[in-house]
Amino acid sequence: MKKESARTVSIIGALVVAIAPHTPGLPLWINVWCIVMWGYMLVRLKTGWPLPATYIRYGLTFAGIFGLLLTYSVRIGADAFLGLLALMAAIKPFEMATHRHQMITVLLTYFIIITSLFRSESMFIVLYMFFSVLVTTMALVQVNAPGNLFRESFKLAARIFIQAFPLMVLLFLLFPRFPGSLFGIEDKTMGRTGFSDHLSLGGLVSLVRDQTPAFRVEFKGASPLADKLYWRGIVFQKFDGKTWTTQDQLAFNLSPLSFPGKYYNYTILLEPHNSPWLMALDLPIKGPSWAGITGEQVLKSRRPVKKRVRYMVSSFARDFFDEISLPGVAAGGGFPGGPSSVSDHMPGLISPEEMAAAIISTAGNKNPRARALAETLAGKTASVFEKIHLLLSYFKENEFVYSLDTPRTTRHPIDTFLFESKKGYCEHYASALGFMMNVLGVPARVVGGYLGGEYNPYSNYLTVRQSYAHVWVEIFDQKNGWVRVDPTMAVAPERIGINPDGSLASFSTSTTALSFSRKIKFALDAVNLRWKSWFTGYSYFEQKAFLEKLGLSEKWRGFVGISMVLAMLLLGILTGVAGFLFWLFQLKKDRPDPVEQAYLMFCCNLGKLGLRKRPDQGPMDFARDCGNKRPDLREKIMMITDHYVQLRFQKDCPETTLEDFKTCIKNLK
Amino acid sequence: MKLSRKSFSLFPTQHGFLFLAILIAMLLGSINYNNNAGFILVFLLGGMALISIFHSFKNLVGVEIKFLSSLPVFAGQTAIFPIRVQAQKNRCRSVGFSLVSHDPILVSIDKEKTLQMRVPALERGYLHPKYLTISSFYPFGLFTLRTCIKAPTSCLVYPRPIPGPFTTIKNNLSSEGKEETSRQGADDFQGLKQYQPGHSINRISWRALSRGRGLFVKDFTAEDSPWVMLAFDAIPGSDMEFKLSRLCGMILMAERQQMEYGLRLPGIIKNPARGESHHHNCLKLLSLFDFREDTHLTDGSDPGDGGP
Repeated sequence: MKKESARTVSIIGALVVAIAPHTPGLPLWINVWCIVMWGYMLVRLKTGWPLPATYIRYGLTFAGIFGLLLTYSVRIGADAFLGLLALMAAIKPFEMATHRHQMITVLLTYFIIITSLFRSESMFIVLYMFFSVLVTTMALVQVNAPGNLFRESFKLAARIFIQAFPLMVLLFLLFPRFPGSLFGIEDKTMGRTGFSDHLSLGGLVSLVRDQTPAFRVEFKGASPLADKLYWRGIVFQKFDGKTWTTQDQLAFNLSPLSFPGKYYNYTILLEPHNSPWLMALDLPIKGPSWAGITGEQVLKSRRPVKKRVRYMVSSFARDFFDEISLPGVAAGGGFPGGPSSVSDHMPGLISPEEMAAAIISTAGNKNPRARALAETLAGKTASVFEKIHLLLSYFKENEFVYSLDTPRTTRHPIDTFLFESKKGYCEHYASALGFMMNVLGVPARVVGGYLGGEYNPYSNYLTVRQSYAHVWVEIFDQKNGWVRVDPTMAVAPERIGINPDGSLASFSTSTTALSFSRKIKFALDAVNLRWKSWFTGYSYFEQKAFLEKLGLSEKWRGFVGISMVLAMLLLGILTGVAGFLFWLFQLKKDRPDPVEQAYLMFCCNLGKLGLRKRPDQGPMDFARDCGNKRPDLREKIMMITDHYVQLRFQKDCPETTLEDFKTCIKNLK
Repeated sequence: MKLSRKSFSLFPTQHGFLFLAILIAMLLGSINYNNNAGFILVFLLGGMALISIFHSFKNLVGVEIKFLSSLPVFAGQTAIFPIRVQAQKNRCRSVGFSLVSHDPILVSIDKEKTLQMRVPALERGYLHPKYLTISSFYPFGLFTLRTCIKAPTSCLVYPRPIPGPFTTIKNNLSSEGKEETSRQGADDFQGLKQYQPGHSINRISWRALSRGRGLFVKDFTAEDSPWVMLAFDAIPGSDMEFKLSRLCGMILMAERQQMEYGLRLPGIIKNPARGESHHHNCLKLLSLFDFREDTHLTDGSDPGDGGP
């Protein structure tokens, strides 16, 4: 009983540790279910309560599956599967009496451990996984070494763990990685946050409240000023009165090189967001090989980003447009450089007025008051910058408020914003400005991206969180091309240079001014970034680079990769064959040999005649006994028995004997 | 006998195959999702399983085995083969010992242990287990490490006793029989002897007791004591095993009744006597009568699977 309880405790301990990371993701009732079942098993070790009877166990199983069906209904996916695993793990300890069941439970626990890794690969989770493996392995030793103390089992598990560690590292580095997915199954749980391909008013609010990192940036050489950290991602060029959408055709491509500005080289580690847009500072010049630069001057990957990616970008950050975004600065004058007329650069293209009309072509007669307002405010002036200035001043002078708490969208959302609520955030201001500029015949597009970045002094990089998501406007000017205008700044100028969570978007390397909790936060984030870029990011390309660093030539790498794959295949085949042989061996063991079989049939036949072989009788005695009782059969029985003895004990028995033996037995009938 | 490194064979257990299947599934999942943490777990578990084999070796290599002699049993009983196992250096954990193909006895050996290996004795004669299988699936239960060593031990199995009345030739009249039954070293008659603890209760002179003379035991003279000559031919029938079993039963009865008995088998004659060694000799004669080693069908002709 004591051994048994030690085993039960260690197995349940392993299960608890393995399930724990899933606890927040599982429905409450499953958590409670697990606690109740395991609690009962642990308490009964003290109190000696009975194990639930078979019908109760079946009942619990059905109840659990019913509950799962109620919870997940038809959404059979990873979550439902995990729920099922947890349910099974909870009831499994009820039937752990035999070694076999204990083994199965422990192996199931290993399987539960890996499921947590598919949720997150953070350093904490991997460290926890090591702990979990240790605890489970301890249970495994406990199952196989009855009478071991916990301490002994743990020591052994830890020793084997440590000895296996170098092997693990080696295999991890050398096991060939593949650039793509094996079966094309993609994990839908990854990368749900981020911009989508359309933007409707109020749609960004969930993103703005999300504090998880969207990407991290490491600058090579000079880093830009905090107020120039406009990370462009998606350009929306179509507005139907409610929603901005992307439109590929309407692109005026301008060479930005003619504007003053600076080049920046940096590396971005982007979290998966399930869409193809890659974030880049202002105007990307050169991106990674697997991405292209679109007509709207944004980086776009060929495929949606479904796993964390790392890429290097060269960007050109324009200097002067930021000044326009600040209201009060006299627009229209003092813009240096630039081509005298942009229209020269777009032969055969439509005029700006036509383009503006095209952008809002599907808006119909939505937002009529906003249209009227635009006309009354800036319909008279011809200068683009004058128009911008007039519209921005309207926001400023009419007590518009920056607020995340906005009313629900209506049929005329911009009208509602401009004349009723008068409060909103970047989306509302950008939409309103963009719409009104298009109404005035000046092409304006809305850009989605991020503004700012939190500088980590420990590791010299910026963290850009989802909450830094920002939307602004780019307005087309004949002279300067697409000019960035950030209307939010008219209302909340403090947004620039300060991140939404209150952190400063400045590159200060001093850590003395930081509070203790902030220091810890930065340090943890720095470690996490290193982890993400060196561990989680280790993939096909990184492996290639690593092997190159080791001095393995292309040929060598191919050789290593192929031999690894071959070795794995071979191992798989060998184990398969071994398993098959093992199975055959088991089968053979269960099946009596032909001689035995025939003899058993003979005994069976005689049994029908009332001649039963007593267990203590040898074949000869039995034959003699039968001969006495049935003298008529004596001859035949003696012959069969002689054959049998020959087959069994004569060294080189001719093969025909077996046939004769069988025939004799048949003839007996 | 010490276990040498060479003779071991290694098999995955069925749980080992299950483990492997889980590992392969995990590996495919990790490849599919390019999940590095998954890779780490798969390689860690695989590495640990491999390393565990060495620990299994280490656990088993120090075992030393000594076979002790076993006591005779009757057919139908369980023969017990005692073996002494010693752990040389460290503790040997979860080592399974099995003679023939019976379920292994799982023990952890701290220093020294004597195990009683039980093998059912089905038929009379010598029971040779032939092989001792030593196996261990310690520490993970994923692999079975197994080795077989020759078991230079055997157990004498007496015939299965069949109780019944004496069917015998008493005070045989034939001259041959007379000659056979002439006894050697017969005791003198000494009448009644003072009872001493240890005397059989059967020999107490109840008459003496009833007369108030105290506890006396009868000391039989050779002439007066009942003795029987148990003869193979005296038992009707042609079933040799039955006859031997009957003889066995009669010997046991004679022994119980403190009678002297002799035994006559075709070609062998044992003069009447008493005592432990006589008893054993007679039973041994029965056991080995017409006994050929190779016709003795034990179920231990090949070393069985010692795995769980």
